[in-house]
Amino acid sequence: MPEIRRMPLELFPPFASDVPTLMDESVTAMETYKDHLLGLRWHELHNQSAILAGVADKILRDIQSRSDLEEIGAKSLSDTDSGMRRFFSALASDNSTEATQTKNDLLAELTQQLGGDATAAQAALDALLDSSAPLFNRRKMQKSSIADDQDLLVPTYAQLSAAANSATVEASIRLAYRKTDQILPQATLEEGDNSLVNREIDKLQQMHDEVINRLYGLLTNDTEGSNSIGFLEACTAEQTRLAKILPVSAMISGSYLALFQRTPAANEKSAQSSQAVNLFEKIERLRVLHAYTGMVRAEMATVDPGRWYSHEKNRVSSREALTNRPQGTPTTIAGLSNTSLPTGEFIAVKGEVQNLRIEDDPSPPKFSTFFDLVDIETGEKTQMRAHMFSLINNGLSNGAAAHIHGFLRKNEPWLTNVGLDIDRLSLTTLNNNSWFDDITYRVRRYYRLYIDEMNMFFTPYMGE
Amino acid sequence: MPCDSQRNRMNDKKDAWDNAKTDLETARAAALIADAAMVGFCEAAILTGGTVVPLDVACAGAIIALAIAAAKFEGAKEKEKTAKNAYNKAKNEYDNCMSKQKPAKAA
Repeated sequence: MPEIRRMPLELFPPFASDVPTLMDESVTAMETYKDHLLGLRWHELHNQSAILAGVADKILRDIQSRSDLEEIGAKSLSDTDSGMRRFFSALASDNSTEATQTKNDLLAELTQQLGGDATAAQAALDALLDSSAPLFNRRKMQKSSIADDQDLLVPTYAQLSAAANSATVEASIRLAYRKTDQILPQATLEEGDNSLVNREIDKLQQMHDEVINRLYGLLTNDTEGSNSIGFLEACTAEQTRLAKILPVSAMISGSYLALFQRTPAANEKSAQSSQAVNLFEKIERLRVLHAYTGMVRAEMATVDPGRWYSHEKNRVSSREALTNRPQGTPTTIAGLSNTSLPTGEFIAVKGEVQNLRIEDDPSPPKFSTFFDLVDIETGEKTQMRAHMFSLINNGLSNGAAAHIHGFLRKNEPWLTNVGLDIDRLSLTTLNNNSWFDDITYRVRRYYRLYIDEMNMFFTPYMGE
Repeated sequence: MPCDSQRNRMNDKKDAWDNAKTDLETARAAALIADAAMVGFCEAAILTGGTVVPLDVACAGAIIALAIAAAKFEGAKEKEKTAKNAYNKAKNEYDNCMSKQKPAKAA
């Protein structure tokens, strides 16, 4: 009678719902999410968050269950692999009458089971006697088969988990924006609103620093490699905390933007514009951390979490914790006309996007994005270019507030005076020295912080 | 929907993977059942002790059946892995394309 540990559990539910089916479910959920996101259907997008989270949870449980199943069968499979190897190795070196009879019996059985193919039967017997047959590696094959499936399920969980969060955040921004317009149609920003947003920015920055220092610290301080469980627990806790806080911050940002856009230009408007962009930037950086913690949860549920954790620890050894994103010298738009600034100077500017368009860019012949960046208070403007990229597809729109880093240009065919070429980040260079930039690069499939690697942040498109 | 060509390619590879996966699961089921039979027919002395003893007919048959099933599982596993990797590559390209899409003003 087979022992319980030899029961073919893989043949029964939930494992009967196999990996291709889970992948189909995840693709369907993601496509519906994207359809609502790009179709600007905010209520439907918000509802899709629960579906994405549900499929993500199902996949995470599948990863965990398959790892548990592998562990249950591991010892007995290993014992049998070893026993069989010893048996056949002893048989191979035994030339006694009994051993020879056993080999002949095995060859006869092989010949019969292989449909009379004597050549194949002899080759199979030789493989058994020289220990090269798959019969001796069943534990390794089983584990490898499960690991291969998990290689597909892990990024799928990470993608769905990040998308569930994104669905809530993106919808919350726009729904709060619209609700504010509906409930407070005449209101403009008050001092209390500015104070609230400032506190929210500080809170998110503090949370960003806490999460990075906590996770980076755990990896750095675990010199023995014995605290993988502690690291997993921290990532699980932070994933939950981020998922709880980000939708509320998103609502505040949407509401603030609605009031800001109605607030007449005044001395504070430039600062308010900058704070709006700051708030969105903080939210987006935390979304990177949320995506990363999801990835960690899935990786640590696989059959060989120790090896992944060991590699993860190695990634901090040559990297600092925080981002090394290059930032230009802060300059006002009026200051760009200062003739002492050389061409190519790396500059940081803030302003409002106007006259956004895609135009033919003759050198080289590709389309580029052009727009004016306007100082809200003074009305001064400068010309901006994203060379060979469409920022409109990336969500930039007229009226958006933006913080941009770029290179000063003069006397170019596309300029009437001076302007900036927007900087493109090299994530594959940045990720060498910074742990945050490294995870930004690694989670870009799940959440993209810099679309087309543009070194800029801006308030998002709200729809019509 | 954007990224149509990447999506079509992903779906093509998915069909091939589905077929290879079905074959793999059939081979896995056969190996599991053969394993259960071997445990039933063969003595522990053979299974884990490695002692060379005369095999009775049922045990010999069960070991050979498992050896054949294990070889078929290995072959099916390699084919499935190749098809799965091709699907994964195509899915990555689709996911990369889709991850760049943001809410934007229609062209």
